[in-house]
Amino acid sequence: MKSYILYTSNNIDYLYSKVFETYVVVHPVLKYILLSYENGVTHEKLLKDEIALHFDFKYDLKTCEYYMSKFEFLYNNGFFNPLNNKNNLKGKIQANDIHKNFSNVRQLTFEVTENCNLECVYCGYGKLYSNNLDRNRSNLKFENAKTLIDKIVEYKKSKFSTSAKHELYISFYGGEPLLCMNTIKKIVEYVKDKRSYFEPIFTMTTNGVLLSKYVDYLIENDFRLLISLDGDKSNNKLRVNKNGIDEFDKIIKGIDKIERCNSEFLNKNITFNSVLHSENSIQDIHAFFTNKYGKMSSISELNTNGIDSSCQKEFDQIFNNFSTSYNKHNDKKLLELDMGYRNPKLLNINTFLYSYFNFAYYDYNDLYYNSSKEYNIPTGTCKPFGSKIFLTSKGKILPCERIGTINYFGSVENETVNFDVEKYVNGFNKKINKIRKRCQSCYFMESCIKCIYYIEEDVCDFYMNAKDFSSYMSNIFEDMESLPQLNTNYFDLINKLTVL
Amino acid sequence: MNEEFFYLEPYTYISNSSCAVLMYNSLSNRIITDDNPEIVKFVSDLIENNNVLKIDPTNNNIKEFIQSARENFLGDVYSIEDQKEKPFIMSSNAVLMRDVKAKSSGDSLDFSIDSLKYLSELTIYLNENCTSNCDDCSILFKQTTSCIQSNSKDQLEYSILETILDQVSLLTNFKSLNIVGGDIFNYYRINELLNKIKNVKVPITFHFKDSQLDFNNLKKLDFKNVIISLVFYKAIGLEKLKSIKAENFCSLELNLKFLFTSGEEFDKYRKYQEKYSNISVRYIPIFNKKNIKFFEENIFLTKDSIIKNVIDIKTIHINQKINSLFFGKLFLKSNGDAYDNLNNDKSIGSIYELSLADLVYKTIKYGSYWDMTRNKIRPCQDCIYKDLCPPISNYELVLKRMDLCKLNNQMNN
Repeated sequence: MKSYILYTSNNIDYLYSKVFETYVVVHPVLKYILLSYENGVTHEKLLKDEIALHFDFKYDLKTCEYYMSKFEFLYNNGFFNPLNNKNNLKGKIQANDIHKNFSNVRQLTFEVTENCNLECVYCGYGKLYSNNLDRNRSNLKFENAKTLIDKIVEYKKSKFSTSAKHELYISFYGGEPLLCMNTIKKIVEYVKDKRSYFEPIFTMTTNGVLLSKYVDYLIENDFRLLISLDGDKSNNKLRVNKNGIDEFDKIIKGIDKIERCNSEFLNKNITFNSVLHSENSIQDIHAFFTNKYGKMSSISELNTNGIDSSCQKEFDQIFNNFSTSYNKHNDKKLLELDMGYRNPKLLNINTFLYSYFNFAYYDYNDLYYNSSKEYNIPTGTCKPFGSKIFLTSKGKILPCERIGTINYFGSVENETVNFDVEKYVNGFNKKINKIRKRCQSCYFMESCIKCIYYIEEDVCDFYMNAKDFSSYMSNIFEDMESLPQLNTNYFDLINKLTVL
Repeated sequence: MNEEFFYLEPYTYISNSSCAVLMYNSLSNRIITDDNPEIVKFVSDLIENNNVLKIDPTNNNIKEFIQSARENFLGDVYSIEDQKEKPFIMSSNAVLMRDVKAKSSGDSLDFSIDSLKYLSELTIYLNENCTSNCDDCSILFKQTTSCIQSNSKDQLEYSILETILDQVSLLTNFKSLNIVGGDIFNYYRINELLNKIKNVKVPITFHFKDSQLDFNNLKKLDFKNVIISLVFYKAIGLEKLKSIKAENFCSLELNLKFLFTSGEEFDKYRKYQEKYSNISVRYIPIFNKKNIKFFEENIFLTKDSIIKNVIDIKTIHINQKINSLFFGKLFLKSNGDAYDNLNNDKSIGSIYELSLADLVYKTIKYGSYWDMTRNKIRPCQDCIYKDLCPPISNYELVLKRMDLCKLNNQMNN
């Protein structure tokens, strides 16, 4: 693997050093010397007259001499030194990691039902996707939720608990969770009794169809709601009920009711997520949410993983690429200001900076203890249960709602939590081992976000060779260069970025 | 004629004040400084313009400065015709994506979860009563890990110790547990404690003063994970070391700390060490309120010593954000009160009311010692050497003076 990368942004060449995690601006003469070096002509063998001649004396001998000495300076100080890959991605998880993660988990997500009052065309559990075959509209049993909560409390009391008393997000997910309010209410009451161990914060992802009915309860319990809505009525054509009719008016009625009875709740507790597809655009979404509610929605692309091959064409027809739609927006400056920290561009820049540059650190631990290197495993897979425990309506325990239930860690049944930590750890490490070599040669590895459960047959579509990585750096640099034009303090902005 | 711009190399660290500038090449460790008002103004403008600034071709001072910067590869010049656009130059100052003191959402959660990962060293005072009447007892522990003497009859509850000992082996960045008295061997459950520590997987250091040296007691600490730290003060009591013979121990690891307040004491220690060259020791100067002159002459930093000790850009980043002498360290007194620094009179909270993880969280979120950096305090914050200088130490806190240097509160070079 090369330890340096040449890339171009806005017609300026840059040279990045993986050893120093910094870069230099590359003058044309310096670039010529670098390319000669790559072709086996070392800088000692080059003559300033020859370089000047190469450029038809556009650059005088003094300039050529200077860049020869600059190359020598970089070379002698190790800018091109090979990387020390001694410990590169050799890590694996251990049983204690799982126990520790369970004890310090920050989010407990309950899939209260598989049932839904909508049948969105692009639903991840719908006909376009092939990886969710065992869904049969089952509901979560309260006893299963209670058993898992008790297990978490048990872990909280153990030596593995290394957290201060903290907020624990108790999240309700579906299907459509508002279809199972009785279970939700029971869980909420049960969790409130455990306040000596953690501070519960209730959250819910909902399609909003039943909002009007439960507004008072949600406000009373300070729920944080993520409402899925794709823009105005015409943008919601793919969010339809069983009869193929959109429920837009009903949803808006519910949100408006909240606005009328508690506008502060709307401002503070409600966020929106819009899926980008053929029936909307970033401009539509931006216009609708800022005009109607004075806030911008998060925007996500359709999930490209797990598509049923027979539905690929249908999927392609409704797929809308974020960058394309973004570039079509007629007032990007306003869009970026309104999107603020939800701007995926900024999130990419954030990850890019702390992955590849020596001045950017994740937190104090990264700065002082080099902790970003601790979780030294291939792929961008999260630490299992490091941030979330997901309990399906059928009682399966998973590290995340986004991975297929076939990868379950354990289960809850008959008031018992069953899991075999060693077996899970071995399975996980085996899976990781298979891709390790591939990842070790990937230039994108430091900022990879590809989950191991989305990699099929060891083929990773995020893999980057030196050329791919050079293009990636060029793109991110162009994004960064566009930021100061917003009159925003760039580093302040980066400082405030929050990724949960 | 083409417009020419000067830009700072992204690997160049820059520090400026109202009357001086410092530039540090993090690849070659070269430093240049300047106090010419025109240069100071130019650098200030440069920083304001994201490290890229148009050059005035008629200004010879600026031209000279740029030439020097280019010769040292601290910055370079480009002309608009060559490259059409201005280059994008990132600042080399440290940026934390998660800053606990920032008020953005999510921070509390980030820092309360697994807060114990921030703990690297815990010092536990088992008790505080002691029959030795050592000199300057009340000032030593504020400058280096050393025992305490007080009238308090408090003893730290053993159940608290048990929980801590069970937990520390599992902590990611935990390096050292210090056990201190009073008189350690007067602790009410010392035998159970000694039995328990055998199985702890982190190094545990027991600290004694020379006056507490007892061969039979040291034998009880003869475990692989135990280090014995013996503190000598003013070069007194050194002869007692003769009684410790390595052959009488299975796994003796002895650390000697020679505390001195004057050059004479230092010389005595050196002579002693020459005789027993196989002993490794740490020499630690102590401020006893009467030896400020000794400190000024021998301990205060000079410009040369600061520059000579610049190691790398990472150290500068650490100095910008945290105090590496204080960060990660917590002190637990025998009454259960926790402190982020023993020079702080105000406790963070009690271990009898909060968990160790809660105490660490409170320290990082609300404490002021772990991130006590020179860029936050006067007069250092106005000095161009503020990020190169070693962190504020206990000496500064005891002397109540932050600039233990010979730069005379200079803001210049």
